[in-house]
Amino acid sequence: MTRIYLFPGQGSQKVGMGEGLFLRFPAQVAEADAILGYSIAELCLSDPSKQLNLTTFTQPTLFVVNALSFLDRLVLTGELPDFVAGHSLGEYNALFAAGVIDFSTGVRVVRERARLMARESGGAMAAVIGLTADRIRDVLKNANFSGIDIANLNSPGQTVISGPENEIVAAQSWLEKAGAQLYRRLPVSSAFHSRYMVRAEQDFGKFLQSITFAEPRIPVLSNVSARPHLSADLVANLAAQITHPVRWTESIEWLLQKPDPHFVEIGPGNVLSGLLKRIRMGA
Amino acid sequence: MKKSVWMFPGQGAQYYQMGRDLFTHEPVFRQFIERADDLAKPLINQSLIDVVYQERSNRFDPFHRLLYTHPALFVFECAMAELLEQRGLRPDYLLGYSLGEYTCLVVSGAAPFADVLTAIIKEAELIEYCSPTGGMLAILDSVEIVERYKNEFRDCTIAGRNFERSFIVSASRSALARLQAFLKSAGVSTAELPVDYAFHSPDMDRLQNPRHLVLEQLSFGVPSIPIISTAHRGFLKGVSVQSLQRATRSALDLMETVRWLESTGEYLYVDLGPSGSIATAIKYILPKTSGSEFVILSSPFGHESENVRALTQKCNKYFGR
Repeated sequence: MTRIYLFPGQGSQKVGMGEGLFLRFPAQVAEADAILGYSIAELCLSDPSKQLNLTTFTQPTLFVVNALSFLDRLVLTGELPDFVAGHSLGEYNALFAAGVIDFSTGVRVVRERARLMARESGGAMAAVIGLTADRIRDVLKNANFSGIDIANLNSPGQTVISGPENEIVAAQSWLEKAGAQLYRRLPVSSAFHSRYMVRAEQDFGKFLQSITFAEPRIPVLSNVSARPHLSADLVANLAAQITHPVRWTESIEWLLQKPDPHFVEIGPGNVLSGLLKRIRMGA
Repeated sequence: MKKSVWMFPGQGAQYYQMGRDLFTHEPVFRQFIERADDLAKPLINQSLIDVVYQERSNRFDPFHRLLYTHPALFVFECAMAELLEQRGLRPDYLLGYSLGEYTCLVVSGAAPFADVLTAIIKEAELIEYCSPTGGMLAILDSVEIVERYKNEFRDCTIAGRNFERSFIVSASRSALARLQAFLKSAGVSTAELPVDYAFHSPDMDRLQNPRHLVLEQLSFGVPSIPIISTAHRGFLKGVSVQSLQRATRSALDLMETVRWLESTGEYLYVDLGPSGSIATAIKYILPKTSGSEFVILSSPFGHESENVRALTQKCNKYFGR
């Protein structure tokens, strides 16, 4: 049996997430609060200032909830995974679970990543369902949408695209005409995982130079390569993740080759479980 | 006749190949360890038998990864107790030193082996994720030097006192390196323990809640053999989440504990750990006039089977068998 833990990324946050966990891990919550300067529990449970869906808040908050969910999993089962993977932000939880970064380092790194990504505002993202990524590329090319990048390869039939807002708006009818069953704008105001994040990638790469990374105790899948991280490329790879597509389908397909794979989604919601089902069905 | 005290050490006593002789020659010991391995493997995705007994280029490499040392040490001690019991030996008292208090739970019948093993594995995992790395240093001098060199010891916590001229401090790696360099220049001998965390120090405080969540999953019965705790410096009134929290967080005092015990009679102290570390300390604690004896069953020098046989004969003689 191969036990695989998957950690969700931005989009899986929701008010009420982490309920019950904050009381179980008060020392870790206090540590995160002290680094971030606000109450994680309040933000997650009542979101009084409507900040939970702002990238700057979403990412560190989700990192904390995912990390506490992982610790709670250990408390309840004691079962360590054989492999870990996370979707975009979730990759940092996979790194925490592999012992590459400790909890407080994770909070600090993710806070900086979120700040730099949110700084590059003005873009948009949309999920396209019912077309392959190759088909999407063709349609966009033929219609001269040269500014749109593929941001997430979530499943064979679910792809997220990133680009300038006007192009993302205009591309909808073209892709629907080509057979897309669903075209859904994501509630973000930046074009993540695209060329528009180059400045964030560079500054984040510099910031990561100051961070100490330990050798992984458990193999961590890289979003950029869809293969386990290699320590030598870790920093460059994590910075590149911001401008590169998340190769989720290939990551899961690689993990599905392992003997008797068992996947567990660790964190709020079940987005990744849904994608897993689609990837298994080839949809 | 002397009462016997079975003693179980904690982190630091482990090494690669510990108990190899018994594992090879004593089916009871071997089967116990195989059963434990079957329980541990699905949680840690690794065979403890492979970790401990595989051939390595240097068997004296420190065995320090907590995820493996924590369960391996506990399993060794429980297997040793099982072997002695199978030979017909019974302790009057159990003595637990740090992690050794978890072994006392099992040997006294206060909690089932499988449950405690699972708790120990969870605890090791949570320590690896929640506690900053650090270390522990054994110092061969009187604990009074901490007062004398207040400044040099300022970042360290006294984790335990073993005998008159031996105590242990816990701290971060960098603080320990500074202290060790200073003590060397002051002519004080030190030895690093093969551990990666500052046990029994405030560094473990972030573990307190997660460990509570793990320990409260255990159900505790009444120990059928009285347990002596070096954290409590006397008999435990009962075992509980609190007594186990204290066992791994409070400062330990083997010297005071044994002195108190000695004031109540004469004992046969049997060290069931892999290195005989507690019995060695007891050798230094016992006054010359004491009628007590101590026995080491296992050490890196091997001959465990022989030692177990000798102890069995000695005890049978006591009982006139």
